[in-house]
Amino acid sequence: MTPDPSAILVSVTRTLSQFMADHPETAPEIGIVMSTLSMLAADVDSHVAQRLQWGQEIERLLRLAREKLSPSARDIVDRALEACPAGPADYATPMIEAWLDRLMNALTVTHAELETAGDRQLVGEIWTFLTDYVTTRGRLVRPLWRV
Amino acid sequence: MIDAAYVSRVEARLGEVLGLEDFRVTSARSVSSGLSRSVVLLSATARNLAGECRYAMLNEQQDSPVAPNSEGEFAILRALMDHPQIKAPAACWIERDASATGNRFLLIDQLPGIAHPPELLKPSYRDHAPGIVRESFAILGRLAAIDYASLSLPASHATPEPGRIWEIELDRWEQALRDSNAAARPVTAAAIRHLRRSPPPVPDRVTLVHGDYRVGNFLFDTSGVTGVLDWEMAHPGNPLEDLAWYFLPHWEFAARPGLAGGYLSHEQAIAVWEECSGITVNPAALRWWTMLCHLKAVATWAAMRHIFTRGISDDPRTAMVSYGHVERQESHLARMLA
Repeated sequence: MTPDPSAILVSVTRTLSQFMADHPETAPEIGIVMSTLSMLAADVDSHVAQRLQWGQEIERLLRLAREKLSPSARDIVDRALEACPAGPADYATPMIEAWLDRLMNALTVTHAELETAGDRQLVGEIWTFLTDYVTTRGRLVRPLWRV
Repeated sequence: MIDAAYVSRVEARLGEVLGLEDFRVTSARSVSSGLSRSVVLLSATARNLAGECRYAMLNEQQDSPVAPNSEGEFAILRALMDHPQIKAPAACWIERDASATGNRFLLIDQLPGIAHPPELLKPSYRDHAPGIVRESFAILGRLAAIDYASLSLPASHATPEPGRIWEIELDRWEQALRDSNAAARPVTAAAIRHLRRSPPPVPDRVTLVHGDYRVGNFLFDTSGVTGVLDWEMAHPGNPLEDLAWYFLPHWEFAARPGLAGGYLSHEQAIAVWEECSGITVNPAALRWWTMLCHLKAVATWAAMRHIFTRGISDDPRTAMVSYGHVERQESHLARMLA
C-alpha cells in the first residue's frame, strides 16, 4: 500500500524538528522547509479526487471483464467491488489507498486471465489505463540526482 | 553514539582481533549511511603499525527493519583482495559478537575519495568527470572478466548453472515482492509473466555481480575512481545485470537524461565495458536484464513502502524513497511491455 502522505509529512516534520533542536543555527532554513510541508499537507486532499477517479475506472474495467473470468477470479473481483467507499467518511486518504489496493489486486488477476484467454480488446483497454496510472503516479518523482 | 566509552571498547576489541599493540583511535565520526547499518570512520595508530591507519566500521543496527548481509559481503571482499583492479576495500574483520562494542560490524579499509554524485557535475570536476565515469565502466568490465568459479569463496557462494541464473534472480525478486505484499500489482505481475515467457540467452560463464553498481556507490577524486563500495548485494550471476542496473534512469542526473553518470551514452559505456570484460553485449539479453532491474527496483522500493506503511519503521527515508518511486519503475516497465 502506498504510504499515507499525511503520515510521511508527520514523520518528516518530526525529524526536521529534532534536527532543528540539535542544530539551532539551521532554524531559519528548516523553518522554511517546514512551512512548505504545511502547504503540501493542505494540498493532500486534492489527491483524493484523483484516486477516486482511478478507483472508479478500475471498477468499470472489472465489471466489463467479470463475466469472462473463471469462478475464482470472479470471486476476487466481486469482493473488491463490494468494498467500494460508502460515502465521504471513507474518503480519507488511507482508506482510499486501501480501496485502490484491493481493486489493483483484482485487476492483476483479471489482467492475467484475459491475457491468457487472448482477449486483446479488454487487455488493451486495461493496459491503456495502467500505463496512464503508473505514469501519473510516477511523475511525482524525478531521477535521484536532481542536478 | 560515539563517546569516550565507545571509543575505549573499540580500541580494546580492534587491538585484540587485529593483533595491534597499544591501538589508539585518533578520530572517530559517524557518516550518513543506509537503513540497515551505521558507518563510523576511524583513524588510529598502533605501536606495531607504520603511520596512521583508517578504517570504516559498518555497524549493524539492532533495530533495523532491513537485515544486512554482512557475512556475504565479508566473504566477497576477502575474495576480491586478490583482485586489486576492482578497487574494493579490504575486509579486515567481521565482528559476530555484539557484546564487544555494542554492535555486530564489518571492518573495512577506509578508501580516499567522495561518493556524492552531484560533485561530478561541478566545475572542479569538469576535466576529470568523463574519465571517472569511463573508469567506473572499465572496473565493472574487469569485474565481469573474473571467472566466478576461480574466486576463493565459501560453499555458501557456490557457482550456479549459467542457464539457471535468470530464473534464480527472477525468483528472488518475485519472492521479495511477495514478502512486501507487492506481487499483485498489474504491471509488475505482467512484467514477471513476460520475463518468464521469454528467458534471456544463456551467458558463457557465471561472473560476480555487484548488485548495486551505480553512481553513488563508487568513490572518486580528481585522480579517478578510488574505490567501489556497498558489496552487500553481490552474488553470482550474469554481468549484464550490473550494466542494466547502472543504466536505470533512476540513477541519472535530471539535467542529463540518457547519459550514464552524466557523461557517457549507453553505447559509449558498453564499448568501454566490452573492451575490459572481453564479453560482447547481446542487446536482447541486455533488454531482459533491464526489465529485471526495473523489477528489482520495484521490489526494493516496495519493501521500503511496506516497512513504512506497516509501521515497522517511521524513518522518513523509507517513505520518501517509496513514494511514487514504485510507480515510476512500473511506468518504465509498462513502456517496455507495450
